[in-house]
Amino acid sequence: MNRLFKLISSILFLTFPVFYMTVSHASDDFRKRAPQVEETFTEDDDIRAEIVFGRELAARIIGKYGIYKNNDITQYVNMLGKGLSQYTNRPELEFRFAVLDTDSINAFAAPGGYIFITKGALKAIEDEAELAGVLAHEIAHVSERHIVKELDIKGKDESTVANIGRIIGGNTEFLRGVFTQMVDEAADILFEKGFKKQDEIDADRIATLIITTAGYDPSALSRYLKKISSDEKEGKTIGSTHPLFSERIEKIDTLLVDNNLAGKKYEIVKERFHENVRLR
Amino acid sequence: MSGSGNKICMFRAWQYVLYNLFFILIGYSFLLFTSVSFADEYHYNNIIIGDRASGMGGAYTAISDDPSGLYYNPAGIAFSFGRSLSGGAQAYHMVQKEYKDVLGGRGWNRRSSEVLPNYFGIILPFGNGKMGFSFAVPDAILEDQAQTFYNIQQGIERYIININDSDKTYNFGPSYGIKINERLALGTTLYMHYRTRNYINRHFINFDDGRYQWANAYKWLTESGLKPVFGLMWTPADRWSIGTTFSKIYIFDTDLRAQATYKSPDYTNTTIDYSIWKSHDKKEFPFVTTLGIAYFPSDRILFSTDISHYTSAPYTLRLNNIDAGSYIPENVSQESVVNMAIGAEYYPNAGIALRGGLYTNMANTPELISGKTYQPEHIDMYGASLSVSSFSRLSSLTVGGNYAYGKGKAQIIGDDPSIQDAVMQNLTVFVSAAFSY
Repeated sequence: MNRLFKLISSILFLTFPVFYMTVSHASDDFRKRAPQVEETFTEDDDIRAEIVFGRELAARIIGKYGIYKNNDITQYVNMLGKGLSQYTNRPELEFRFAVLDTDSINAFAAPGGYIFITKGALKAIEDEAELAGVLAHEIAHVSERHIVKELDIKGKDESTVANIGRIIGGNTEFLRGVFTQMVDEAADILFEKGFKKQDEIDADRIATLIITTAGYDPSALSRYLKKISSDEKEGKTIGSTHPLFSERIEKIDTLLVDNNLAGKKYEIVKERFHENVRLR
Repeated sequence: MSGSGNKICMFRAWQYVLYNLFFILIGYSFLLFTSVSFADEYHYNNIIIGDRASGMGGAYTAISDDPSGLYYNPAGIAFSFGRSLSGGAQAYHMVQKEYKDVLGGRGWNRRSSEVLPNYFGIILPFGNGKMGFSFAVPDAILEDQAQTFYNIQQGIERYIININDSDKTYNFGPSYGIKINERLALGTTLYMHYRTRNYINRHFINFDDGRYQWANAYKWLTESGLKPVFGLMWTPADRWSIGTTFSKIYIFDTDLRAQATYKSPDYTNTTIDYSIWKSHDKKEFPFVTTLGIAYFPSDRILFSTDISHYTSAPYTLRLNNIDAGSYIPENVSQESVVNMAIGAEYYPNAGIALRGGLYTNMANTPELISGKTYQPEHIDMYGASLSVSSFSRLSSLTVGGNYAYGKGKAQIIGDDPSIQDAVMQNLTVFVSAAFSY
């Protein structure tokens, strides 16, 4: 038995660096068991909890950056974003879009359908297809409930102290404290830690499919990422919450090739974008 | 079985108390064999901790993504889902040993049973990782038995053994686990190790001619130490997980006191012989390395295996006789041990989980050799476990149990080279609940 233990240990010790170097990516989602995977969020209470939570998080985002007050641009971004949101699997949500008053290049999504893009990102975007790609990426974070799943936000369960349904209705300081802590964690994901890499890759994939279905250039998001990744190298962008551009770009490009979309001429709608977004 | 030359088996220093007192005065060595330690210091895997882990035979080092993981592999809690998790278990724990052909050809049974808080753990996000606190009872004995034997030997009308032994080991302390990247997590637990034992052993013998004799032994032990655990959880490929942990218990304080009193059959005076013994010598524990591998083919099934290596841990214990100012050194040999466990988990639907496992609990004593004396018992144990969990949206209830059985050899009468067959059984039934929010 001792020899067996030493043999197994030695094999693992020797193979560790080989595995480590060769395996490019491994999501930890496979660790989820059936009860965690098969949770559904179709009940009204869950949706209400998601929206209430997202609204609180949206307030944090607005509080941090402020709203860029330009009705024309806001209306344009909303029109485009609401159109794209029709291609998601969340008809129960009303998506809302706003521009943040900061020159940093970024975009944020809060549960419940609250989508933000920064003024800096709009300056970096060159056409409507790219804007559609960025908005669709954030819409995908909402539609796939990335924050909801990460923080296990639920609206109806008699056994939980963090029952947001109960928190919404008033209740104790303790329950409100739990809610505030959860919003803090969500803000931490948006501003500091970022989404999980697999979540980002999934959002890119879904965004590319959405804009393609909507008739925009399928490579628009890839183009945008290439641009801001080069800006990042020059220190022009923040981008800290959307890491690993090269890997994301590679995945999108592979998706385009696999679906025979690479090089296809779709609409980029440059003129309309510049007519509505006058920031330079 | 009897004879003036027979001595007591002495594999723990406190037993010398009995030996020194009794050997001089008693010619019936069977009076003394019950001093054999019942606390299961001869095995390392006595109570399987946690709800999910218990059902899987303890093969949990490469999973460890719930509060049980605080005990098995703190690195695993970095992969826990949900914002906060807590879990606790209550267990009925029973240990039974049977020594064959001991009392006039008859067997002798010892049995311990109790309901104990088996485990509690909570995990919370902290910084970029997860922190937790857990409490575990990895070993516990509550033996409370009164036995009367008749006509075990010519000249003896009745022999009574009363034993009350409460021996519990507690581990409690904080943990922290953090992902270094999406494939690798590290974690550590710093457990406080605390053991307390109160032992009373009384023998009474009635001879056919009306004489009687008795002997009482008392023992109090407290043992405090630290048990640091370092863990690593690695995802080498999709659906595969490898976990490893390193741990060792370091004792920083031991307070052992023992007292024995005795009355011989022919003694008629009013004073009673007694001895008081003390020791502060620290027990040595093995360095434990555990390696676990888990495979998750789907979200409904997983397989896991653990292999644990315990180094040899010999040490010397000196029991000081307070009155005589002398001490008895005892060299305790604890051999290296390898334990293995395999487990599986299956979800027939999202509301039910079935788990099963097999595990070993090997003895850290050497195999008994014919012709030698003073040999500790050697019983390798093999166990199986089962559990079922029912899930609501944020909570789960688990009922399960594990049973281990082992056959081995013992030498109840220490200086008698005769070797007895021994059978040991270990049963734990538990109910646990877990919550997340």
